Amino acid sequence: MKQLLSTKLLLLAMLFAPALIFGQRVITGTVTDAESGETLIGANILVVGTSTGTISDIDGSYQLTLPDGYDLLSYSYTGYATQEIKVGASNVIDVQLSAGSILDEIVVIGYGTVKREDATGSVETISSESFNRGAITSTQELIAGKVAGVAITPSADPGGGANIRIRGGSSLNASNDPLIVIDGVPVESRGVSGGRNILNLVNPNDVENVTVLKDASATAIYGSRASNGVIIITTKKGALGKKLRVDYNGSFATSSIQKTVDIMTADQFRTVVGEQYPDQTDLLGDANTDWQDVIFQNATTHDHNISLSGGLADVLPYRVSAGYTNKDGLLLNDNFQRVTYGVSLTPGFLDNTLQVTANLKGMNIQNQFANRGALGAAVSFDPTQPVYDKESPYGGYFTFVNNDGTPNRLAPANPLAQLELRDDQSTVNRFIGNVQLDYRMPFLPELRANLNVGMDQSKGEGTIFEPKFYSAAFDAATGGGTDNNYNETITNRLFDFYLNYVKDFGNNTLDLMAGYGYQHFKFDKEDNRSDIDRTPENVVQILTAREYFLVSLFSRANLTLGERLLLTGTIRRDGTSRFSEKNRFGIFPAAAVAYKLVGEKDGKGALNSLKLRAGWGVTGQQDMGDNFYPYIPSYTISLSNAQYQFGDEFIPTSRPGGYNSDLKWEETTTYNAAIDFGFFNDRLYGTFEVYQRDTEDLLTTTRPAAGTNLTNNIPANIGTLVNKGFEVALNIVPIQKADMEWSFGINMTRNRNEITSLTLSDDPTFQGFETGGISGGVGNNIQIHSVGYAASSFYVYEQVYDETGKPIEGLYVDRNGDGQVTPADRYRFENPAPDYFFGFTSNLNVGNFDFSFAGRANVGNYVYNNRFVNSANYNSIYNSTGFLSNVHSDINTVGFNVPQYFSDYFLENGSFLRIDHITAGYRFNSVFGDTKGGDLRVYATLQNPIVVTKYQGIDPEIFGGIDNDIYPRSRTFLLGANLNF
Amino acid sequence: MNRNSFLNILFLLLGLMVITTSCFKDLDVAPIDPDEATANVVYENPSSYRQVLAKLYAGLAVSGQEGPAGQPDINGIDEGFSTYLRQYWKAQELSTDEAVIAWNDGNIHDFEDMDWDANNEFIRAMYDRLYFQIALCNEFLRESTPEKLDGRGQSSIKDEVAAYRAEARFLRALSYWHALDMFRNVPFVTEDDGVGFYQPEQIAPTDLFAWLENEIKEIEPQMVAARANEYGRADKGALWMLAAKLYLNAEVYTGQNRATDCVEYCNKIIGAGYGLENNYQHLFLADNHNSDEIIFLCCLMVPIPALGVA
Repeated sequence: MKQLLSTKLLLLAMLFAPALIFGQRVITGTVTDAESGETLIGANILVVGTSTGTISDIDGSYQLTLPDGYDLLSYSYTGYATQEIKVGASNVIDVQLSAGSILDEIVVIGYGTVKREDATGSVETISSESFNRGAITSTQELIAGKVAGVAITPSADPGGGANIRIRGGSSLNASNDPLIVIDGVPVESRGVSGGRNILNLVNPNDVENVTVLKDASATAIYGSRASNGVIIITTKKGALGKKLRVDYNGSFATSSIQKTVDIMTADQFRTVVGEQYPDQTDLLGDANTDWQDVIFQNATTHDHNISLSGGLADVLPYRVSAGYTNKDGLLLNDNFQRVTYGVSLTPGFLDNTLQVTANLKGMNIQNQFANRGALGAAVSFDPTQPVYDKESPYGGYFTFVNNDGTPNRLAPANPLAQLELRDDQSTVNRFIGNVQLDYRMPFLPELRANLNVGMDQSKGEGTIFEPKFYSAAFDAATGGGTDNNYNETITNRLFDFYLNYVKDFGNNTLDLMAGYGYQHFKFDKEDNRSDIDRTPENVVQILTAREYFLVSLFSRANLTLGERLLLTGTIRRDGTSRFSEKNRFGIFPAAAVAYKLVGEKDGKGALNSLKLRAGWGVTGQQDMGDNFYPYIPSYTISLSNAQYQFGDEFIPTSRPGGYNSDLKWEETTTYNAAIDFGFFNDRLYGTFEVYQRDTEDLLTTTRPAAGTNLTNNIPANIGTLVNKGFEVALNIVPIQKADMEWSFGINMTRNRNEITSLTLSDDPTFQGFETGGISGGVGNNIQIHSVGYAASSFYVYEQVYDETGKPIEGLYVDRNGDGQVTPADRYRFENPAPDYFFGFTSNLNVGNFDFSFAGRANVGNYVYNNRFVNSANYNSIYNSTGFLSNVHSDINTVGFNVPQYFSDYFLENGSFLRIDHITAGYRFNSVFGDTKGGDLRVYATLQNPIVVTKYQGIDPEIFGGIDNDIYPRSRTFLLGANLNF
Repeated sequence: MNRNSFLNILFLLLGLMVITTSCFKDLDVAPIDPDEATANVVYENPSSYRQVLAKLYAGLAVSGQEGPAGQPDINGIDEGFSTYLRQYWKAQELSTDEAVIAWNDGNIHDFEDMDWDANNEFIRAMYDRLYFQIALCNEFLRESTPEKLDGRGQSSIKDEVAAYRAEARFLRALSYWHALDMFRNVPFVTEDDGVGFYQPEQIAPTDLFAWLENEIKEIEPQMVAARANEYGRADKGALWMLAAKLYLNAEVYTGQNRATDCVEYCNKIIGAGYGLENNYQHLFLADNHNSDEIIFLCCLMVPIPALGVA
């Protein structure tokens, strides 16, 4: 492939060469905003009296060939006053336009940009000013709650990622993650081993804006990977004509835990043991240990970022940045350290006919992972036992032992020992580099060729070490301990090429784009496991290698008629190496229409803009996780631990694997209709949108009929599901004065998910596919995918209560009325996805003072309180091997003896309202003196200050809806400073 | 647009077409994992036949290709629960008064409560195990025919592979007998049915019985003599035991009493020199390969414990 790429480059260079010999009068320049000096992208430049024209590029620069006999140029930009300039002797004309309305921003769509006003699809851009604030290390978190229809569940561990769902999940077993594109490079959604978040690479400080493509008419240009929406991250760039600008942003934050599981104190526990197990009080210790207090810490974060940007010698716009983050987790020994660097060069060549964008981003992460097992152990560990025991041979930590002195394996290991004796570290290095060449044909200025070549490589390496004296790794026979290491390399190569032709015909504009994309993903992993002494039967090496390819052809046509009617059509043909030759290609079409009832031309009434949009499109899905060759009959050789004995010989076995040569694309058809409106010169603007997404040929992991395949579990195209809903987004600017501005934004989403079929033939006895594994027993599931219900609906028994309202243990409603309570009486009740979710943001600027807050709310999301189930029953207090376990404070209100895993009593409404951050800042102008400038902003942020909920566990915001020893979210106080000069 | 620019564009488009068509070929992939290979590649290697046969036997004992867990053979249940022998034992024993499992593992108590149905994951896992085993045997029988060996230039190992084939048919018959005994009128697939997605034919108990009877008679001459095969592999003794068990309950399966045939096969076994251990415990000791009582064994991992199954 490498060689192929360079051949391609050479070939393209040869193709361009003939174009370079033309020489006519070419006018170049930059279009900027008169007030801010920011460059304007997409400004129209027209030779008056002709149809010859161009638009300014991403740096605001333009280039245009002047026909003989014409010398008047018109510069226009939506919402800005149009200027006409007569061409003089100079071939360089820089123009400054005066600013106007808010809807004129440029939004990035796949393989191109569009003016927001002219967008036909559901596209939303969040720029850096509107990002969430606080100790944020993941880019996903920047836009949590900002976009209607986009549900983001941030994780709590340091450097952790976030789960993103755009308009619900369109798949059952295939991926439901949106496609993420970083500066034109679509990235692989699987993270590398030892990493915490696929977006750790991108330093939030380097992000210029994030664009979300929601409906198929916008996403279909990404075809096969767009079924769950697309998130496009654009990083900051330098600009021509600007002097060196230095930005420093630093912050220091301290985080503390808000809420722990409500378990008994040592004294309460002594009482309950005395009542329930009077014969076992000898097992009680004398200590009073709050184990949750032992394992959690107040965590600190500090973060420093510096960037240099500008234009070098008026030819080379650049931006160079570096960042350092050091973040502790609330759990002891959890740490994330990151160094990021970025270089972005955006020079223009050949009178700016050739625009080059070169991006290099890299990171180095050092992770220290805390043992998550400590979370559960701290809740259940006997609070009357001390943390340390000098006599203990297990590192001096108090340990439950058997009569022979060996650790009791049924008892939890000491929570602190779990954190301090397990050393789990990783180093992740990653870089993304891409070079984008954008060439405007001198012989045909309306035609642009764009070539994008990129590579994304991550390498994760890690070690896990546990000493022999760590009770959980104890093994008398072999010496025990753990000495594991692993490494993984993920390589993603990209080659994109497209042609773009834009031509104005009077009031009409035609914009055509056609291109080709190639991507190759390769995964190489090595996993070595061993005990400390490298005992032969405990030494295992697992090598895995996987790859897949995606090859696509795509095209799009945008037609603007009379500046009112906008039409978009796209079509993409995608090929994947995951399917057999006959099913390999999928065609993904989309179409959209928009009509501007009221636009910028219509004067300045109260209603200043009104646009209707409707779109339809088909997108695909082929990402089935680690299943890379589902259609190929292949054999897997067994590892040394799974050989079979014939005679005196141990033979590695060779297993034929199941395959499905009929596998094909899962397809989602989306319908979208919307109204965009703006009142009072956009002091009030917003969107109302309705959508429906029908997925068919779901890539479902299903059971083939007995004996017909070489597995009992194989992906097949079975079933359909639907997501429907509506979204409202409103932005209000109640105050807009010279020294005071207040803006407020709120959005709301309603999404309903329903599985509409799951089997090839109608089988009334088929209940569905169980999912949602819980802690308790082995192989127990609390959720089910069933026809007629939302995916992952809870599948429970209906609890019966006594007259005092107390649940009666093991007594459930005989829902099917057959006189007995059997598994057939389980019913589907609610699901983890919210019925409605909201996001809101407020920004207030008064003089140099700024104040902002943002928050989110979910309504109707249900949570299975797995922690409560496991610690609200008397039997779990005493284990007959001789140890006690702590229980929930509310045990007496439940009063169960045995955990009742499937009772709907443990399902709780997890609706919540959360304030994500409250920030106040003050800007000092010209701190280096009036002439030298230097703006300094100091700010303080209170992150996650308030959560309003009736949920009884520690946090209702749980992706997947099963509360099983989750990592608690912190409350964080941050002080920061931002200096630029 | 002048002629020159037209040519330029044409040139560009032609160049693009050349590039793109070459890259579409990359979509033809083959596994690159060191532990994975396509069927064609696997059977080019003569030692593979023995390795696949080992998997047919291992299918009764191990849970997957990694051990102790990882790359499981069947899904939908905890891997540790999923082995053939464990499921078989649970289905046979927990549904009687002989054993109880008190853990709250999934719907395990359905066995004791006698209210299991098709949605019980343990019943499912047993059923899936049976048919996983049958499908493996079918695959091996398809890929190891004398014609295919000739085609791969491996005629020299034909005799050896013929014995493997007889054992594969024995293992398949064993699982079909388990299926008949536990589920009765079951789906029926042989090596003549391919791998894919289709609805297999259901077979009546009498027909499956007749097929099993015929299968046993056909492979008997091809099996290695009783007590003459290498450790871990089945011989005529194991086949006779299967026949005896099939005939023992023939009346339940077909309505026809075949006790005489059962006696005949039992006599064959006794005649081959098998005998009961004086001390039952000896069956479970490390040197149980010396025992006269074990007719067919299922090796569980390392050479320490062995457990009789048939």
